[in-house]
Amino acid sequence: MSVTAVNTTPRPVDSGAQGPTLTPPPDVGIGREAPERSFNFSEFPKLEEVNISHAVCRVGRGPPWIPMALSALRPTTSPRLSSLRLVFFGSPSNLPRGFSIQDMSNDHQRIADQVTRIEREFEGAVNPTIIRDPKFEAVLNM
Amino acid sequence: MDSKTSKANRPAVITPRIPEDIIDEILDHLAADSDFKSLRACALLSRSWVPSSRRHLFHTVDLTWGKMDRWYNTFPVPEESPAHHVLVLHISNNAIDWVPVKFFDHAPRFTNVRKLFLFGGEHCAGPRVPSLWKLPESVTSLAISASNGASLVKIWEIVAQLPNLDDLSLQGRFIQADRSALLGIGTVPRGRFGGKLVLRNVYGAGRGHIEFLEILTGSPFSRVEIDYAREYIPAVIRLVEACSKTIVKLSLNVRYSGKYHSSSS
Repeated sequence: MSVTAVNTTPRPVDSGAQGPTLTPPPDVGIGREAPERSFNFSEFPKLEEVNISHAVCRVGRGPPWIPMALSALRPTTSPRLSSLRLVFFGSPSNLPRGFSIQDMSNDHQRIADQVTRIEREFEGAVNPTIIRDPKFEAVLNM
Repeated sequence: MDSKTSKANRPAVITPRIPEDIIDEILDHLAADSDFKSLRACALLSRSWVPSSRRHLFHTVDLTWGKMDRWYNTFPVPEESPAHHVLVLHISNNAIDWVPVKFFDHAPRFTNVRKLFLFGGEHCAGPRVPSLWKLPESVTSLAISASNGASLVKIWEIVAQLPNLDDLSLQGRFIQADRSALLGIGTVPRGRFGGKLVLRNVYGAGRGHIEFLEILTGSPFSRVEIDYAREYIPAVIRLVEACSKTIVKLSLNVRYSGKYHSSSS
């Protein structure tokens, strides 16, 4: 799989990203990849390392549970966190019905916003990385 | 009389003897360098060096069913076999034959195994740990790889034998188990499960995976590495949240199931 590291320099920050823990965004109908709940990382006091890789082919959404989970990562509740790595592999080929590049883009913007917030709030103690498949990146930039 | 006196006055012949801890130190260095040829030579050199040499030579043993033949031919008396030195035991069944009956006398001698690896071969229906073979309770780490399908019930039967289990790793294709079959074995794992949970490339058992994840939910794992199709994510979330107080490292790889591929194309 060919992947490329993506600069996580913040795009214009959505003010909501700095607020309280996110609530689930409305489902767009694809549904099955969007669980009703996500990890509540505020209850993980010993957490040191989080790695999430997620396939993006055939998906119509972010996936939403990832920004929900990230929104609960705070220095006060996860003081030992030192590593956060997100990998999005594959490309959104054979898109399902209901697919919306805008929805997907919004979900990934939420993820990027959360990563930026984490980097800032942890004051350098956490080195977050986002890696995206170049084909997927091209779709997001369409 | 003179001769007796002279004998008594003769200085005793002192056989040079290297202290045992020095010997152990030397053998430890040979083992650290993986110099098994020298370790074998040491075992043949002196009877007193045999136990220390064996401790290293039999630290890790890879048993295929064919090698079991060799084991009991080499060590015909089970009580004298070096099985108690084995700390890491690999059992793979890429041969078609079944466990030799004679080996059943030897199996209970593996009393100190810490890490147990079970590999199901390409032509076999999963790891063939026979029901008659009582697994050593000393096992703290279990890894099962089944390339051609293993019943989740069978897996759970194995897990249920190991009360000191900390780490559990499953990889490969697993066969559907209904909840009643799993409940028959017990819903509370006997192991401590305070270590690492690895579920990698696990596929093929449909809803059985959810039953399996639910049984593991509540165990205080400290490291979790899960590779699953996305429809199981809610069950994975429940499992991970149940060990939220103990978890140090979380790695998730979310992929797609064949079911979703067929329905969406």
